[in-house]
Amino acid sequence: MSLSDEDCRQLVARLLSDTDYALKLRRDSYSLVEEAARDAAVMKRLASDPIFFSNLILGIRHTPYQTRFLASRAKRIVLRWPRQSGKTLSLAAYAAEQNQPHHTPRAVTRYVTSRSSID
Amino acid sequence: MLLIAFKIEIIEMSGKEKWTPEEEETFRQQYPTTPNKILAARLGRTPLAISMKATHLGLTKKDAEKPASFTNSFEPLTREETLKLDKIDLLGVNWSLLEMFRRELTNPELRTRDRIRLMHTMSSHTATISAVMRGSEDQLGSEDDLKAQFIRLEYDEGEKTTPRRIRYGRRTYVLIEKPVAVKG
Repeated sequence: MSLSDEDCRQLVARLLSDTDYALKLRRDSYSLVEEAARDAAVMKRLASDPIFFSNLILGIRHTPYQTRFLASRAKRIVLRWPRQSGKTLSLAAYAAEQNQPHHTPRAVTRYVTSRSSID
Repeated sequence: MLLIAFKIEIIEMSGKEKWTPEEEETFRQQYPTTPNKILAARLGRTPLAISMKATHLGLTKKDAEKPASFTNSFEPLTREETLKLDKIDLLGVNWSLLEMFRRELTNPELRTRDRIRLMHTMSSHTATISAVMRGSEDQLGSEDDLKAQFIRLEYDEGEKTTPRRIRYGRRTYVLIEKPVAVKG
């Protein structure tokens, strides 16, 4: 599918203004995501906004606490979350976002203090 | 033992701050009458959080103050009154009635059941006046069928009867005992 310039401009404008739309677009029409991701403004946002990257490229809707984690730029982060709260998923998204081609590659190390599934 | 101080960011799971008294007051006022999704968006919380808070406060949707009954403010014309008017008057009456119905139908507090009744009534009145204007009221058959053009509105406090419906032409009429629609 190829979009006209005007359609592509409108799509990019909507994507950049509405984060939920990125999720919807990825779910309903992935070919449009590929079209939009070629736009310079979208690429810039993808590189700088981990939430936007996660929504548009990975198609993951994050909870507020996961969003805080992804937005954090700290070198060392402790996630004090209970079982089944999405630690691994967030970490995977974090690793994917941190290791985009234009970023300096970073190793993401995960330490688990104990079996988190024990109540 | 060598201790090295690292700058570590701790991210807790608690998403939203505690409920403030103002938020709780808003919640108490709006919860009974507002859908959870709308209230969640309004207060910046999830629908589940809204539901949990309601349970915690002991609030239910049943606490809403519902109107006692639907009040029908219309005075429909009887067939006899309709026959006394000339066609221009009838046109004016019909127009006014439709205007009143339209205004009432836009009332946001109108319940779906009452809205449907109102629309049936509006349809019936229009059919009656149209038939008289065409001079073809005899098409409707016997006197009993003519009475069927008027729908009795049933309310919460009224006796429950199931009206018999008939189809005539393209319209469906509800048979009632009395020819005049009853006020609320």
